[in-house]
Amino acid sequence: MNLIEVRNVTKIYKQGKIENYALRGVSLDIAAGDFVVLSGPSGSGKSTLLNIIGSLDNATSGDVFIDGNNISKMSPSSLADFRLNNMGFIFQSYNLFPVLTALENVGLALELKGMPKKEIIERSQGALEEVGLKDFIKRKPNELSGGQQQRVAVARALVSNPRLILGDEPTANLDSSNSESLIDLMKAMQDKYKTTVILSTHDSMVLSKAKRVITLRDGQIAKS
Amino acid sequence: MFKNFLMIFNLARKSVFNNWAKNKVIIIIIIFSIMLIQILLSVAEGFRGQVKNFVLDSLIGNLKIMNPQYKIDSSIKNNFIIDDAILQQIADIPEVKGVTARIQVPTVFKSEREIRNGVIVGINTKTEKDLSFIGKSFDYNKFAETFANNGILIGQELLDKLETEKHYKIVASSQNVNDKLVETAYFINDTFTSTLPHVEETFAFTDINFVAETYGLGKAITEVSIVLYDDNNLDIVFAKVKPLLPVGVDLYTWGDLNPFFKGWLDEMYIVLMVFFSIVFFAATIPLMNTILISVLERIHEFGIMQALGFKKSYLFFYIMFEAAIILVIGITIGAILGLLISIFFAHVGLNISPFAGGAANIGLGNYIYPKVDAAGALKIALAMLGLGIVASIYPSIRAILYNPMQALSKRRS
Ligand SMILES: Nc1ncnc2c1ncn2[C@@H]1O[C@H](COP(=O)(O)OP(=O)(O)O)[C@@H](O)[C@H]1O
Ligand SMILES: [Mg+2]
Repeated sequence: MNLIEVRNVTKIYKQGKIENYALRGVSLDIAAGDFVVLSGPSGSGKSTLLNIIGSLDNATSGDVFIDGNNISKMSPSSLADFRLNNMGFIFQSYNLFPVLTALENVGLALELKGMPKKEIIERSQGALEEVGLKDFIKRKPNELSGGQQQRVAVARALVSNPRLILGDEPTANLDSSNSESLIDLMKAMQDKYKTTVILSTHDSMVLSKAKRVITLRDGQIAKS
Repeated sequence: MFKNFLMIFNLARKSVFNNWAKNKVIIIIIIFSIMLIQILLSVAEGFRGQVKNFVLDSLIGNLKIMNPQYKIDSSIKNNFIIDDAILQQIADIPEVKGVTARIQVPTVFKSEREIRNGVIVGINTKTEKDLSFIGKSFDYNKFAETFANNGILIGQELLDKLETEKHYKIVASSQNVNDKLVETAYFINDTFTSTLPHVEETFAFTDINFVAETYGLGKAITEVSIVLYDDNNLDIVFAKVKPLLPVGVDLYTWGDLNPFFKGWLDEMYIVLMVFFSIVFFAATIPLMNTILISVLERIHEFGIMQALGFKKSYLFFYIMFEAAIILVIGITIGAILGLLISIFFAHVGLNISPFAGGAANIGLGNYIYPKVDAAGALKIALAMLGLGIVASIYPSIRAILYNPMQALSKRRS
């Protein structure tokens, strides 16, 4: 069954009179529980596609269906709820809140869901244990290494059991051993929770671990 | 919904304290502004109270009934007659504390050594109690005894100027109602003191009936003083009293009789209001600026929040809460400090002689004793809070202008 259906999505960035096509009529299906890696040279449109699937950005034209919902037609406020309940994000630059501890960073989305405090702490602790950060829960981001921060981000993305996790070059700022263990961790989590994962990368190590690779070139799918 | 607001509030609280270095500057500005306004308000209140007391001590009261001619020429020829029944009706008005009739007779006092101008005031020993400084400060049980047999009560300062002593005789020469010079001998049975030097060196008191008889006034008097519990009710009482008065008699407020003070006080409040407005804006603009800068620095952070599922409305309130927290901290500390400083000066007094020689000369004294005006303080705090919150709307809107992707693409600070 397809979790994601992308239909003829085009994204044009206008800079003055110049139109820059980031995506040119991309269509693709992604099955629930898949582990997909987007590859392609820099500027090929990987980030743009991930952001549109993640509802962080709007397509210029075309539709994106997630679990049958046309997210291109939803209001910003319902999209916020949709992301809260269905998606987790892992960013290249970790994007943790500097003012919050690892535990608080992980628990934030659960708080937003209105979960009781006790359950939030239990689940956040559990998620941090699963990513191997049991002893670091009280630390703030600046007291953690890059690899550890990205693990906190993985725990944050996982903690609310989303259907879909999106990661835009999550290993780009990590050394090779940290990269490999992060991807292994994500694969293990994906196996365990049957989450659908889409990552973008340049990294051949990451590509080698993908179930499915989609290659973009000049805003179009070159190989799928 | 409420739970979400609570969570956003907690995030805002953490954010305010985590960015303390930046926020403390604006908090200090708010503290000083509120403190300054609070102190000035207390000083103004204290000053106003003192002016009021001055008015009462000068035998004016809140309202005065007089013959209009008396305002121009304070001679006993310009007297009037009023029914006791009318005075009773006025005294029965709930806002009125008391009513008392007096006769003021301009006099030249002569002792064996000195001559001084002054005023003999004939007072009603029963109704004067609690209404003017003399009724309050002098034991009114002793009035009758003091005034018996040409007895008179004179200011200590006047006694000193006349270079005489208690229980000596002085002669008072005044014109009676028929412009005849009348010389009367009085015995100085007692003296009074007053905080106001000019009162102490001008007035001498005796019984109103004796004065009426001596100077040929019969049933006529020169003034009725009306004292209220609260000067804020002045207009109400004025409207009630005015229709009761007989023709040829008029009603005056203390402001009418002291246009100088009245004008001074009104002006003082206008100046204060203008000054308060300036201080308010002087505090609000940097507040808005601080919040705006901190918003612009965190656009990326707001992108993460949106990615996590925060709605734009939550982000809006996140910034508003931050501003509100900063305001409440600043206003609370500022108000407490302002009140403490006001209370301190309420005890020791504020020496204004370098700035207000005039006030001292007229007899207001060299010191202002600030008076804490709790309702005024609260209004100021709320006004600052309101203004600050309004000023935070624009930065809060700036926080939600971008979609998540645009916000995330802004560089992190
Ligand atoms: N905010 C933007 N404004 C203008 N052009 C953009 C913007 N973001 C991306 N692009 C352009 O869109 C194209 C695709 O970019 P992107 O999706 O970031 O590629 P990738 O992630 O594969 O490197 C590139 O040509 C890039 O210059
Ligand atoms: Mg990219």
